[in-house]
Amino acid sequence: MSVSLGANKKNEKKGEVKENTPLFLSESVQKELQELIPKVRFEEVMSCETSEEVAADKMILYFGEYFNQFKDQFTLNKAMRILNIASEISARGEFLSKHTIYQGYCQKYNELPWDEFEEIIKPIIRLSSMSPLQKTSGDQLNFTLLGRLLLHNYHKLKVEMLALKKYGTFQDLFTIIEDVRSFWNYSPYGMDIEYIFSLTNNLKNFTDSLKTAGDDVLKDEAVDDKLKLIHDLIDQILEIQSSGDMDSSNISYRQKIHISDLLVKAILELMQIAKRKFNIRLKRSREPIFETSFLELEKWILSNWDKKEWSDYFYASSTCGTPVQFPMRLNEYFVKKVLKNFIKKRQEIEYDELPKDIPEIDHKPIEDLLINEDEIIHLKEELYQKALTANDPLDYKIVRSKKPEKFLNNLIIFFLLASEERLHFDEEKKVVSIQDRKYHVDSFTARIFELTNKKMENERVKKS
Amino acid sequence: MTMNSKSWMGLNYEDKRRLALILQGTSAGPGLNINQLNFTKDLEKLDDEIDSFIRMINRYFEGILQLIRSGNFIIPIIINQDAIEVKRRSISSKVIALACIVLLHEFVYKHGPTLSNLETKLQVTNVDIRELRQLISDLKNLRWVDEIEEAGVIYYIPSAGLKACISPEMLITIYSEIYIESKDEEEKEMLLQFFPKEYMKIRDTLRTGSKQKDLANFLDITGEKNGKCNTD
Repeated sequence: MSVSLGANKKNEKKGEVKENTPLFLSESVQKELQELIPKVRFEEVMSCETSEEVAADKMILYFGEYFNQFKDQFTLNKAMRILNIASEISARGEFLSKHTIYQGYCQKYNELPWDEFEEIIKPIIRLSSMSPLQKTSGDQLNFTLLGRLLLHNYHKLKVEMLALKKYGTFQDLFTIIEDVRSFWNYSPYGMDIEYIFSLTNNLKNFTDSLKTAGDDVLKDEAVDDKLKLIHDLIDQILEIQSSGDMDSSNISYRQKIHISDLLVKAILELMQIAKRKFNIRLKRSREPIFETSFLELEKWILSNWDKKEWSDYFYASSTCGTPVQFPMRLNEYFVKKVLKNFIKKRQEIEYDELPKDIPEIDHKPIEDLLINEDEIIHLKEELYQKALTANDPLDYKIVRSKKPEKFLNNLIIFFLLASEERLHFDEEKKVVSIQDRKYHVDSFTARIFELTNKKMENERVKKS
Repeated sequence: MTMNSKSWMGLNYEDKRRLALILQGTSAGPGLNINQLNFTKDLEKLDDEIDSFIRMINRYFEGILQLIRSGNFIIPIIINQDAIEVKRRSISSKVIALACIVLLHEFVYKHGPTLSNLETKLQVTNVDIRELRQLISDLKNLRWVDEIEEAGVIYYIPSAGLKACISPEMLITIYSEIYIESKDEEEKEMLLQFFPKEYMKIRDTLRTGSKQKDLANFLDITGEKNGKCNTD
């Protein structure tokens, strides 16, 4: 009767109260619910965009694929027994392999010929972690998440199917549970009136079907009591809502919170009973949650895996590095830029910034420290002259020398010249000598360097 | 050869030879095992010697070439976006994305991912197991991950090389794309706080320090050179 009241009011009030009447829950109840029910929005269920949604859909696809592997109901049943044994073995932390599963199977169920066993187990063992039993190393198997999903859903479906066959329709109980789940999931701070109506109807159907078929459940007085209580509370809520604007009335507002708390508690208790009776799992076990931003970042990268060009991000960042082999592909522009910075930095060094406990270098310019090897100055002079006279721009490609040592020597020469400010860079980023702007040091070549290098050695040999 | 051995500032012949070998790498990829570089055989002094060698080279070629030690390897890296002419072909987009995933996994779980960890993560994408293995072997070739086997399970540990190459700035850029609408600066700051110290430390050794530090190191090198020249 109280139920029909709610049902009648549904038609009258639905349109009016739907929008601005969230039912508020106290924080403690919200917390309790959050622990019991994972927060998943309906929109999320019906979309396939974020990484989690895609992964879930993929799991379901594999789930269907593996269920398809079994040619008849008997094979399916045996395969599920096998998975059950596997889950027990892996829960005990024992060694999981074909043989241990076979042993466990023969102990628990009827003997099964090895050939038949192998034929059943074959399609569910693969190398991928997206198979129920993953082959890791040697004989060892791993009972995967997908195996658990397969087994868990087999249990769930079987319970529902059995209930259907045995007691007629038990669908309503599941609908109620789904509805309750939705209440808290859709709106984090309360429930929408629409769901209350749907809950009322489902509860009504559920009680009806219990009365007609479900002897076992009906014997449990707790279920009946809870259902009565829930109906009662829903009626109270509907009455408050039909009495008009709650926002202006503090009493009704407080009442409402109180009632919704009671309602939630009653539904929770009903769910506990249903869980006990029908082995329905509501709580999702999760890996430890690390709510750092890194997971978020990772998720974003994964969900944009094909949509973004990651090398763009990589090369756009000036501090990203590339491990190199034969780094002769350093480009001209880059070398010039670095040399320019190099000179700039040397100029910026103020001598009074020198550490005081090193008195010897107080009055010495750093450039002096760099180049007080007479030989080198002499050689560089020569090198420099060569650089000025050669002007074949192609010859600049020294940096691409195939020999790392030559490449290094070339770089070092550049650095030496730069540190002495013998290189000058104009606005157009061309390497130009200070004395004569006509000549480009771009034509600093490996060939020339090689010559001077030889000459240097010759001179040294002569001296010694 | 002996005449050539003491020249060019702090770089003696042996150091130049080492650096040239390191730059050359092997067919297996960039970098070279320290066993091939003629360092001291005294194990107690070995680390110090390698450290000072790397520090000297890094100071010397600051802005052009930097060396990083990753386990038994010394890997040369170039830090700059426009340093290499054929950069587009050098590292593929997916390898970079996977490198980020491996790095982030370590940040969160304090250990490297296993193959099935990565496989589970990549379920979301179109990457199948074969392609994943290929990507991982690319990572190994770049010396970006080290394989460690424990109790039959292989873990892919992000190497010092990877940490040197994937910069916090890049991760922050990606991260800020998530918050593209709010442009929440605080969120970015948050991310910076979470970066492990070890990761930031590697970055610091590669980047130019304070002027003072710079100068001290600079003088160290030149001082060493002077000493050697005098004895010559």
